[in-house]
Amino acid sequence: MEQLQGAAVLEKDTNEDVLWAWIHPAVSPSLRLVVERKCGLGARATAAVRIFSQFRGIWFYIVTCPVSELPDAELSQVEGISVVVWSKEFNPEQHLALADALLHAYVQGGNGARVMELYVQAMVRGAFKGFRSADYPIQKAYLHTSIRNVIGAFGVEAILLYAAVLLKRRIVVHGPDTQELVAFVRTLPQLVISRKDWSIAFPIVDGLDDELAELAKRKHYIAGVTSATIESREDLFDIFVNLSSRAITVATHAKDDFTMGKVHKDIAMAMVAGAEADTSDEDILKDLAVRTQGLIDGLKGLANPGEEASGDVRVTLDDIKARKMPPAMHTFLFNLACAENLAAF
Amino acid sequence: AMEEVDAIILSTLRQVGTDIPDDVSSLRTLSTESFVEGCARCINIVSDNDELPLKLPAQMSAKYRFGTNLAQACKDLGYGGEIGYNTFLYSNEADARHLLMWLLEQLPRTSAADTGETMGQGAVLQRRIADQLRARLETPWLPPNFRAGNTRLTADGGFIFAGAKTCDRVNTSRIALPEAEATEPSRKRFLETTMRPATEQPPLQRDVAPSLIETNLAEFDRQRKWEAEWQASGMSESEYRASKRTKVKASVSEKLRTAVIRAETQKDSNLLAFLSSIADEAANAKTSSFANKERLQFASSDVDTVVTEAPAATEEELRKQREEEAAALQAELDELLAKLAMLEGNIHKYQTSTGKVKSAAEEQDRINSEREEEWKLRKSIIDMLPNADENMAKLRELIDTSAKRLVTLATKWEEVRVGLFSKYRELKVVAASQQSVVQQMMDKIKALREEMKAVADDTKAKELLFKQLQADYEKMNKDTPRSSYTRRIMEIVRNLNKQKADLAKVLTDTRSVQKEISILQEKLSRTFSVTDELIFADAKKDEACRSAYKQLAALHEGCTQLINTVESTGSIMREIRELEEQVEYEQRKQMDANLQRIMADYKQIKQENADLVAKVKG
Repeated sequence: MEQLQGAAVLEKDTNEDVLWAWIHPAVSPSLRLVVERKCGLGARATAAVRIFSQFRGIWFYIVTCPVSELPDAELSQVEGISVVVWSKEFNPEQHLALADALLHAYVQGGNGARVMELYVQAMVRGAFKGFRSADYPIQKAYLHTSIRNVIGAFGVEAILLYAAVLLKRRIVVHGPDTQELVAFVRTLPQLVISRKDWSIAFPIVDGLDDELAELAKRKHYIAGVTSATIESREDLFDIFVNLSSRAITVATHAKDDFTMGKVHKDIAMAMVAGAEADTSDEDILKDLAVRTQGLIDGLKGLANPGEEASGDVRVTLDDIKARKMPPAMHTFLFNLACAENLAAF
Repeated sequence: AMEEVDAIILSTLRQVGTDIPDDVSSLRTLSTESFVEGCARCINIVSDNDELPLKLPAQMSAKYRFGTNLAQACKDLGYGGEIGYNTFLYSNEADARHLLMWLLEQLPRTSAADTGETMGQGAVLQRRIADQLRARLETPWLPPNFRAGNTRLTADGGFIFAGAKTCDRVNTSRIALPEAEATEPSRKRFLETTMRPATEQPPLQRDVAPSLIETNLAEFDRQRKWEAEWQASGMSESEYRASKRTKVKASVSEKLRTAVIRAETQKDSNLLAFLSSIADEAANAKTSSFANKERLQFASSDVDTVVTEAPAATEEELRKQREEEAAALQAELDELLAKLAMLEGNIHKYQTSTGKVKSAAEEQDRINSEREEEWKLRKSIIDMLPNADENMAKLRELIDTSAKRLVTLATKWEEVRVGLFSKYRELKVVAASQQSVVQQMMDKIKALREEMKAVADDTKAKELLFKQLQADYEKMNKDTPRSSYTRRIMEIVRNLNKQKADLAKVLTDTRSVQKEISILQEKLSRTFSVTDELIFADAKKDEACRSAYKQLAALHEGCTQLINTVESTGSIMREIRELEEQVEYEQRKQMDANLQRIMADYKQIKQENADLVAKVKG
């Protein structure tokens, strides 16, 4: 696990102080601030938390547990405990398992040196007694959550999510429950699984300036936000998903890009049918991937044959307009070309 | 009891201003003059005017009229008792007391408003203000010439300020002020030694203030105007100052130059030399050609003066020359402007391209450093490749040792950390408990503060009340202490009670006697009727009895007569007693003495009349 960036232990004591008990190596204050906000120790009563997200390109995995729920805890004056693991890699299960292991090691006697030792072992060897990084392959992490739930929840409307991910647009998801939010956000990149790009997922984002500023720097992301006020910030999203009311809203400035045509209808129907039928998640994804590839191949086919020979396929808007299609389809295809880096101007 | 009443009456009379000698302690010894004066004063106060004179006149007839007037005034005020001039001139004690008591009752009760309600400081102040205002309103206005300065004496011996001391015509004179930035030594010396202070500059002392005010206003106005002018110009202050200075200089030099030209045309060599020297200096001319040109220009513009002497050809020539010059200069200017625009465009172009290049360079730098890192890594890997296994082992060993070192360091640090953490937490607990103690103390202090404040407020209110009561107390008359009044009233009340008890006793006695009388009467009538019947019955039969019956009737009649007589005797006795009382009352009026005085007065009037008749005849 060479991509590990650090680990830390936070304690909340009986004086309601949240203290960074152990941290290795030094981590930037802004990163620490974000973690401290999300670890759940700041609340009056500590609740168990297992979440992860990313900030400035670094993933953080947080496991928080009230000491009362740890039967083998040997800590005095400590009410709650959090373990954070920073890494450049996306692999929630692996890192949360590491955090769990570190937490249990720390709880027995509160020895930070032990945590440190295990962390170094994990980094150097990728394993120690009770933890093996090889048990958590990245492929499993990608498919850990079920796309069927997403399609089942939104039905035909799920096509908007698909289009947004495919066209590399900005999606903001709002939901009151953090675990649900995290699970939902991490599932969405599966819609275009061929890209294997999970760096677009920001499962938990606080509606505060530092994290929103990070989002604003990017052109494509899927962000889970707990604060409901985010819905008024249309400058931050093209698609807004409200998990509690099961509603998907398209921002007014993006309405043109999300005019759906026959192609979309076909894909949507296929998705819903797949989710309702007794097929596995993988089959649904495979079907979706085939359709996606079909779209891209079709797009490539539109390119000027002369340019195709050079191996660098470029499609111009004029190429697309040369075909007889509804105007909405023109926009969609050109946007797709842009997203797939096939567009020429 | 009468002495006490007299004391009250006398003290009240003294209070309203009556002149009563100190040794007078009862109405018996009160002189007629004092009595009349007291009555007159009281009537004046009650009827709220000063109509009645206070002193008895010397002449008898005037005295009579005065007495009649007083009596009439009393009647007008509603006095119900018997009253006439005699009441005043030939007073007896009882009448005098009765009249005075009534009059004193009529006096307005000035202190009634002051008692009872409590007043705040504001009310006290307001009352004082009202007093002052009343005092001022009561003093008549006098023109300044009739007053000593601006002070006025008041009736109670104090004084107030009223109006201005004098009226003066406002006169101002110029006041020279030293300028702040005098640098010349001679000027400085003047300011330091010769110049008089502002207060000594006006010839009259009283002109100092108006002169200073006028100077100040003038300066203020000047500065305001200047500021408005400057702000309207839209330049910065120093800029505007400079531009104004050059403008003024230019206009001066222009004037001088015209003068020079005029002088030249008039061949006044002395003046010319002088003016041209100044003009050159003023124009600050550096190039003679410029001055020449200017001069030429002025010569041409001042056509009227020039035309008389200069030939027309020269003027034509000059104009031509000037036009040519102007054209050349215009061309040059246009050329320069075009060049400037081009250069500016270039600068803009270069600036944008510089920005682009800069950002590109930064990007390149970043990529370079990234690649450098990568290259270093790859190079070290490639360096190790030949001896891959060995190097791998070495690296692993290196990693292991550093990991071990890290862990040892961590263990060491952990010991320190655990100690620090527990210490921090303990201290925090202590601090929290201290905090709570402090909080408790703070609460206590707060409560104490509030209590203090309440007590202070209470004290303040009480002080205020005390002050006000003291003021009231001081206002109250000290001559007749309240306690003596109270004591006297209490005694009178006691006496009254005693008398009332006596009266009640007498009444019960009378009632029992009356009861006895009626019982006896009834018994008598019963006995008589029984006897009458018995004897009457026997009288028909027996002669002796008949005479006895006659005797009885006579006896009965006689007894009735006797009773009637006794009753009438009683009523006569009562009448006698009443008459005696009346006599005593009349005697108290000192009829004899009064009669004598009346006779004397009558004689005096007669004498006066005779004198008058004699005077008339004579």
